[in-house]
Amino acid sequence: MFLPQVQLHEAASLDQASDALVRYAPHVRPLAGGTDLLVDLKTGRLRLEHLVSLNRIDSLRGVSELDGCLRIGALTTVTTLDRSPMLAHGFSPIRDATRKMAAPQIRNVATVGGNIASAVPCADLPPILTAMKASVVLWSPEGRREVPLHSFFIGARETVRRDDELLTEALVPLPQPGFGAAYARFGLRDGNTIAVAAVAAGLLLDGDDTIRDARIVLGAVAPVPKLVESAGAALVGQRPDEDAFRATAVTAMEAAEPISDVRGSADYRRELVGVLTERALTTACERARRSR
Amino acid sequence: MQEVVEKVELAFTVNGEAMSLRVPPGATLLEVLREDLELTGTKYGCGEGECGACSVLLDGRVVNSCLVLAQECDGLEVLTIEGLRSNGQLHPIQKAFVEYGAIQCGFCTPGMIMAAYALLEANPSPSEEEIKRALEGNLCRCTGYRKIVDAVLSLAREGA
Repeated sequence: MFLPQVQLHEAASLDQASDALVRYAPHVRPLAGGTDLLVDLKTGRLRLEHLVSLNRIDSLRGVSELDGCLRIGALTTVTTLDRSPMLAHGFSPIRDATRKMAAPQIRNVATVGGNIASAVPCADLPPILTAMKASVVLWSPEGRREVPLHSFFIGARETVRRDDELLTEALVPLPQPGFGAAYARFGLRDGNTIAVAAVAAGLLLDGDDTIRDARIVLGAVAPVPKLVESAGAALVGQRPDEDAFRATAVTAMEAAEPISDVRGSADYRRELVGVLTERALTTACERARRSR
Repeated sequence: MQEVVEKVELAFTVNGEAMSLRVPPGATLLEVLREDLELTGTKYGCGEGECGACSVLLDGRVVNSCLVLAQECDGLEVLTIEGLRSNGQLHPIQKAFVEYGAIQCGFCTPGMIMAAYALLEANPSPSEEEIKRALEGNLCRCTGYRKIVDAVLSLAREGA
């Protein structure tokens, strides 16, 4: 498979990148790691005449703490994020996703911004980041706006990002004491897989072991990473026990909108959502108790 | 009217040697290595980042060269399987693959060795689990992996 003729524009700044994206719209995409985009071009799933490489914009790299938030620059690779000392304590559940994603050759190149902005339904970072109440920053010459991740996706490979905007960073709020999160995914092998189904859970427990806040987010079983608000709301005020988690699993299974494909049937995916919801909640609960 | 760029300048280092050439804008690193530089040790397998046969090191990180645009390698350092040999001698990882029978058809071998090289550079005493993790992006259809893991394990320094 060869890449079709495509013009690569190497942007030296966000302004230049935004300008090129507007000028060549709609036959253009921003290029970061390229591990999804170049495959889409090679297979003909996507036809473009231009790519705007962001890879020379160094301000988009790196993981830091900013105003009590974890700031993950869009060009940060999955490997860099996984190894970041910033992923200690409350932020460590992000590693549930970075550890399992693809293979070293891909993780070394694929970026956090790409994993989010490509809006591929089975992407691993969006569910856990949504469970942790993350947002993304969209920058354009007109200004910057912060969009909560749960309202960033509007369909498979579709987001609210405008042509002139660039996703510059993800912001994850510092988890408060009593918060725990976890990401449970199922792949057909242990190594180098795409998620067949995945569930992320976030739980906030008070000192009496009562659930104060909860989020359940489904991956790979809907066009978008799906925040199941009814499942989270039903947990509030409850004890974090097996019965509560089982009931949540049933709600999550009902909320899933899986498709059948080469990796699994819709029915199988729905069953997985139940199992994975309980697993994610159990781990999130253990972590929440340890963090109090 | 858009300008059509026929070829772009690329200056980078391959196996320690500085190179400067003109490449088509859509060329991948793999195509440039194989077609322009005739470094055919790096294999074309799937072309979509699944099999790892095209693995090379780019600035010290193992990557699939089929998914890297050559133009984006400007100023970077590439290490391919050809760069592992020194003074006409095979690299210890290559010797271990021969000794353990970790090669059958040989098509995945350069990629396997580059992934193993990246692992051992970062972690000279990997466990078996760490070796399997490091090689998870490299498919082999002949060996069943056991001999490959054994070959890499034989190089893991004592005291892991």
